[in-house]
Amino acid sequence: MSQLKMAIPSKGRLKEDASEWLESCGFQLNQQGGERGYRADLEGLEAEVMFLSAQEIANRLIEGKIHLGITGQDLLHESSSCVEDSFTDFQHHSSDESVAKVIKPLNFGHSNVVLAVPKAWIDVTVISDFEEVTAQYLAKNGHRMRVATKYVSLTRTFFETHGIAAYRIVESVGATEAAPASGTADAIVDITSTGATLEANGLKQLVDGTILRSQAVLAKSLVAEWSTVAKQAAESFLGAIR
Amino acid sequence: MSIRPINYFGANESEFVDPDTIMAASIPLELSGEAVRSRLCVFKDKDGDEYALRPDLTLPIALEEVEDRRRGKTGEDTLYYSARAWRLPAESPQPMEFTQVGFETFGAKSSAEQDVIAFTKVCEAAYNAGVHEVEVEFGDLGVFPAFVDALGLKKSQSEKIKRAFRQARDVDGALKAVPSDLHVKLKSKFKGLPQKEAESFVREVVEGLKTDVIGKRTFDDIAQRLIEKSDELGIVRTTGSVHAILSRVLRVDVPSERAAEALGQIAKSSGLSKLDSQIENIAQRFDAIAKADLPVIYSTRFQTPFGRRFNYYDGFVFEMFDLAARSTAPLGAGGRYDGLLANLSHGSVNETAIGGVLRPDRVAEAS
Repeated sequence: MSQLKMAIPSKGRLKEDASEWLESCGFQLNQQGGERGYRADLEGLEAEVMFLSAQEIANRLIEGKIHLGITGQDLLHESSSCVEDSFTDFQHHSSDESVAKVIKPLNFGHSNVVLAVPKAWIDVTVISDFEEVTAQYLAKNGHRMRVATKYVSLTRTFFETHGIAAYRIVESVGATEAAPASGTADAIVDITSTGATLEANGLKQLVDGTILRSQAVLAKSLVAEWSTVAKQAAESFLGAIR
Repeated sequence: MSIRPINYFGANESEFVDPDTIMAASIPLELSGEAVRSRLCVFKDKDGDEYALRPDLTLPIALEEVEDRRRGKTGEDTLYYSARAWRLPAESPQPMEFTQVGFETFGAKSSAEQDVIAFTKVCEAAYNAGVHEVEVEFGDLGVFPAFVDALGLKKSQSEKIKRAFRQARDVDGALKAVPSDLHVKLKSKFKGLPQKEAESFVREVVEGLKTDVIGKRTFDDIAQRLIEKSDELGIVRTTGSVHAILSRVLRVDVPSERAAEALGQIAKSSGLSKLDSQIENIAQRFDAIAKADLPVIYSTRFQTPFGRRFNYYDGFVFEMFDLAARSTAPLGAGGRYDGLLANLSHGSVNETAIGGVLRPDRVAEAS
């Protein structure tokens, strides 16, 4: 992996915003093979640029298969507890064992990972209420309350930080917000930007239930093989975006 | 291929049990929560149902004991085992697969005498296996909750403090928990309100919210909690002396023969009654252990917080460490888990339980 390898989100709003941001930094993105091509040239930079899903970008940064990537902060922290990030207040790992580092928040793709419960729970507004309710639920029913999420790792870390133990995770692959209505879970941890989807599903966010304020970030792999050529290209790119 | 069990405890062959290797993952997860998942060896079948390799022998033996008791078994029974267990290591040099040799006693009287019998068994087995000197750490997971109960706090506050203790969290944080604005607002509405009226009120409010999503909680659950909370407002502020007493209890870290004295002094100087039998039990237990003069023991300490993260233990607990090896991994451990059978059987089987275990790999290193 001698040349600088960089990945950009492959679809949707994130792709558009990432392209615009690169352009604003002076790097014109030319997608090879039209809209469906998965490679691109970045004018003015010696780099192999590819289009991948935001989740795949997070994975590859953590595995050291690419050098730089634009992805969501939520996906990075969910995929590894060893991501160095000075742009979040989420309690995360930061040491010699770090595998990736957030270099720059990009001010688009904003969304929050939040803990939400049925709004009918009028006795629950803050996390300490939720902790108490989960414990009472276990005592009454003999089993732990279910929390649906695709953010398994973020949820476990956040709950442990707040002393919430009487719960079980139900891994969800989509439509997490429907889990309380369908009976598969009582609470959810999910991403939201306006709260409208939560509201439409009879849910409310807890006042202090924001687990992670996320946005699109430029991140760097700390475990990739950094050749001199890759380092030079990255330095030139990072110099230009400051 | 049958493997001859390691017989540290001098059991008859017929007393050995080898329970199921595989269990539904929901059993340890329901018992100990998601925190235990990172230590479990879990796999899925074609339908996506999760199973776990037994993380210790206590749990599968307790499950079989529940079934036996449901089928009519009564009285006291001690079962021995020498078998493999699987646990993902918390620290890298530890093996994922290991042997445990131990025993479980069900249905015996929950007493200091039984605690001493169980502990002595493990010590003698370690000594006979060639271990020379161990440092022993003792705890008693009933002590802190007993002090909390003796303080006469409101139920939900007591429970919150006990939960914080078991999760090794700041008890002070649980004491100072500020009531939410909502509970302050609803105080006058719910204080002293009969349950039925409270439930009607909750229904009315929720109807106004135009939602039918309530999960598995009921209107009754919500009303009951609001009544409890309104009754407790104001109480949570009286934290000064409570905090001082509980901090002293948590700081108890003394040679085990002085544990009862240290705890007794705190109870006396704090004016707390109802702790006599608890403290007397501790005195009897550690006096008897000191008098037994077990040859393998180099030193013993009692610490109030010791063992609070141990899953399903709820009383006397201990771990022993080889003095020469200076290892942080115990070669022997054990304790009381009187609530486990009731927990696994949803209350239908209620029998005491105590057990002890040695790790042959660590015993071999020590001897």
